[in-house]
Amino acid sequence: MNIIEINKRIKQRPPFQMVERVLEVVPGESVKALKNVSVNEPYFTGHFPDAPIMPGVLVIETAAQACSLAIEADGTDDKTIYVLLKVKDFKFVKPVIPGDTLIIDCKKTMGAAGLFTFAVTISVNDKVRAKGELMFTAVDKESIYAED
Amino acid sequence: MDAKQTEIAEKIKGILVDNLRIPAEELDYEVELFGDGIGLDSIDSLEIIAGIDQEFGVQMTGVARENFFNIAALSKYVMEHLED
Repeated sequence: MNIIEINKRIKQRPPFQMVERVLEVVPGESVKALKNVSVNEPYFTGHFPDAPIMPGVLVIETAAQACSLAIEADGTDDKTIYVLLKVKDFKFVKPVIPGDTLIIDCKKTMGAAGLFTFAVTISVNDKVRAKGELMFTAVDKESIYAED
Repeated sequence: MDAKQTEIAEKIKGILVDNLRIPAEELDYEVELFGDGIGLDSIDSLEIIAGIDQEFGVQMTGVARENFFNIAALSKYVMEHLED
């Protein structure tokens, strides 16, 4: 799946679009995606000026966007949005730096009662950089913005 | 609580220990799970619902709050809604 096809299915856009190519996808079950990490990405300006490292939260965001490509049927449902509910046991084994090509491997470990959990591994050259578990659910978009 | 409900309660306790990582020694069947008891939150309740769906095939989405009060209440609800 190339970037044109990805754009049809996910709503994130630059500078917050983290998946550039999908290598494999089994709808509802798993996805393997790719992201090239460029020194031009805006966060490297400040994180850190003399030692560019991709922030861990953005590594998690990258994995979350990849997972959404496996759980969202075709991205055409405008009323619901998949949100991240829980980040579990994430480890950052080695920093992600400019020049890295991330391979994001996501496999569903649980899907019940509207919850989806994925085991995620992010690797560079077959060596693990980060891993953990992410949990998602679908919510009605209007409910997010409703007044309490 | 009869033998069948005790078996269900024990499995629910297992879900709470394994999925939510609540120490087993803090859990008995009567302790309040939310609020002043164990202090679970709304995300935990979704995980309990998913765990019960997976383990027993019983749907608890939208079910009244009192059924989530403690393990005894959860196991009673599951037992009453198990398909034979």
